[in-house]
Amino acid sequence: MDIRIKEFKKIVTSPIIIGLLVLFIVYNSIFIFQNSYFREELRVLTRLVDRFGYEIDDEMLEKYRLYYEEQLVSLNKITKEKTSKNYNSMAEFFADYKYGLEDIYDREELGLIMELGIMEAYYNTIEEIDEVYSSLDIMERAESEINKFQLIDKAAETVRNQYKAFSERFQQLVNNKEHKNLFFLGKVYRLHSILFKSLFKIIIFEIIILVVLITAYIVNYEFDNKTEAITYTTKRGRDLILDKLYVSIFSSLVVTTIILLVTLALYFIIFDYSGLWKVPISSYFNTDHNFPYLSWWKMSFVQFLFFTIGLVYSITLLFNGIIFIIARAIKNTYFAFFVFAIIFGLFLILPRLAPNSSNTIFIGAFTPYFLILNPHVWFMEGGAFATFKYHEIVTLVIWALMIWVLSILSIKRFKRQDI
Amino acid sequence: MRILAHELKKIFNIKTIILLILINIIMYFLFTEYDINSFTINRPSYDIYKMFVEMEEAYGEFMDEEEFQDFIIKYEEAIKEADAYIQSREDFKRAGVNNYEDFINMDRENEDLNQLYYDVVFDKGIDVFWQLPWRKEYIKYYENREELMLAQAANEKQELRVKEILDKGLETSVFNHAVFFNYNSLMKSVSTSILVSVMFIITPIYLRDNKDKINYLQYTSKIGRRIFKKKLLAGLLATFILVTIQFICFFSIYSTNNTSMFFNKNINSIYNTIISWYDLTFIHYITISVIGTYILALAITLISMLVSSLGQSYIAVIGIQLPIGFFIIITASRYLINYMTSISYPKYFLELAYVVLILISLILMITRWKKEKQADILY
Repeated sequence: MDIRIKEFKKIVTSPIIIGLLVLFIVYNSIFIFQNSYFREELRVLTRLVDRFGYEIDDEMLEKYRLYYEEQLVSLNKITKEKTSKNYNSMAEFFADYKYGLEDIYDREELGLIMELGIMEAYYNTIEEIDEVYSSLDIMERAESEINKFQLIDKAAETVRNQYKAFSERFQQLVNNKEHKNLFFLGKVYRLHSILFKSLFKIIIFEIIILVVLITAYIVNYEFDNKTEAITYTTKRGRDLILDKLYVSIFSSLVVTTIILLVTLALYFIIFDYSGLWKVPISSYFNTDHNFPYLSWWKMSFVQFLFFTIGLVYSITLLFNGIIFIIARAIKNTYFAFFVFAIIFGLFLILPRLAPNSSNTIFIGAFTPYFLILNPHVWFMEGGAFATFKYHEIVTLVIWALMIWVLSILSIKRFKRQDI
Repeated sequence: MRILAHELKKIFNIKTIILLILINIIMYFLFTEYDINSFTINRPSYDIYKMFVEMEEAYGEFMDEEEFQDFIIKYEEAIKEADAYIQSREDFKRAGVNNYEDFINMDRENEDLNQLYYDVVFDKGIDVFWQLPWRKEYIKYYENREELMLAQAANEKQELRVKEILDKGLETSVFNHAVFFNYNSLMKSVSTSILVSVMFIITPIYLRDNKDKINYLQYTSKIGRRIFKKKLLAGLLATFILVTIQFICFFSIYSTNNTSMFFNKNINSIYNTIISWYDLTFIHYITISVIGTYILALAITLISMLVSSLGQSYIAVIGIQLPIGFFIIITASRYLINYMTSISYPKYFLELAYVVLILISLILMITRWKKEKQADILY
């Protein structure tokens, strides 16, 4: 046991690993702060949800409308006093004032104006939900994806089948009214993209860099320091490689936890999600591009977050295995690092060689390398290549098995290697 | 000399070369290939390119009033061609669309008409329908060129420069943004590949020997600590060779884009998206960007060598190089290689940035050499 602690100490006391960890966390914090200029506006929705709840139904909508009209009356009182005008909606109000609001109204009134503007934006979005969803055609989406990648024959057929299966889920989603829930307006704030697309992708790449460095460092430590001949002759001998593997896995999980914990804690302190944790992730409000995010299962935001974190941990382990095999095979840490990067690149390029008519084109989508590029559509409808229902789980299982077998082979070879 | 040759051999050993080629192939397919292949596919940029090739043949370097009248005539001819095409199709006749005028004013809210529009423009991709909107646009550009150019100036200095261009009449240069934009985005990915490659081959240069403590042996030999300088020279030479080879490869691939007829055209054209502080032609711009990349490669070589001579293990060196490389490459492709000499930067920004970069890396390396000369050997 002692030897594992000693191995772990090598990592903890390595200034480079610690330095990079700190640097990455600083970078993430800067990224979060750069995107936080609208955090005050988010509070408006938090207050609305406190008052009405997030589920949208007729009763709630009626209350919402009454409250909104009440507020509008109080705004009109102010405007009448100051400019002797009346407004029926905020759109009308803002049409009058492109600039110079600050000259006429004081701070408190400006707050009311902002709040009313946002309320109206949510209200308008609620009203358009039914229309949007009745014209939303999943099979049309399938065709546009097929067109986008110019798929034909069997490949196109596979995409259609996926989407056929997905359209059942879509019906269920609409029947469950998962889309009719208040959430931060995606089209304006793009929080889903900020959190799951940008931030998680940054986090994953940082974790991979650290995992690669830690694992390569620890596996090749004896060779780098020319102590391998000594360790081989000890009682523990070549079993040391197993200890090294366990310690590298443990350390990878530790750095993953540190990065995730600090970054996400900061994120949720800056962006207040209180009252909205249980809103289904497929809510129409979450849409930040032209197509809504539609999950394969009924998931709340917090469930989606935890599943994503779980997947990040699993992928960390996969990469740990991959780099273990590479570092074991290539003694030179420097080359091992670049070989890892090259393999990464190859897995992104090689799938392009597959003919666009056969199902081999989908093999490229079932790799962890592909997975980490699209963390925002995990467990969701995700375009031609990522809409398989069990896409993430299948990838994980296949790769875990492959890496497990290869690691065992690699360790066995290591034990019988000539000096 | 022999030591230099041996050092070069150590830098370009067979394993490094294989990995280097693989890295470059991957970077090419991930980043560069798109701009090479799509140049002749993307619309409307390729239509614009073809139109300008035609203009270049007819008008030469600049487009004067007379040639502009000819350009208008060409536009009218193109409309006639479009008219003829529309009239040759039965379905247009049935829809009540008789000429190009009707075609652009078509009510595209109407499903059938929209279908027709899509068929002509996207499914069949008839050239003249892609060209016409741009011809019209460019006629407008030419007519309002003074206003449009002046509108791009945000402060007095920029305004002076724009006026200077207008005085010289450079804005009528037959040069276009399709070619320029394509070259710019290619240059960004190519310089990235070059900088990554340079970092890859240079980083082990001192570390390789320091790690095995061979440097102590080297220091006791006749050449002694001067080997530090030899390695430095070998590194710079290696960078020079590598960058030159990469540029030869790149420009031979780029030549398939066929843009040589625009080489002697001024880039400060009203049809282009850059206003430069200087009267550059396209070939000047290309030269500047190549020199810029050489300087960046030189700076990154020196910095890599500094890290290499300080680092104790490969992991440490990679850990330090990653953020440095990331920072330099991002800054370079955003400010130092992108839209060089544009008036959106202060006038001497580019020159200063490069001088500062060279100075910093040189000073760092010289101090390192001075220290190395006197460093005690502790073992």
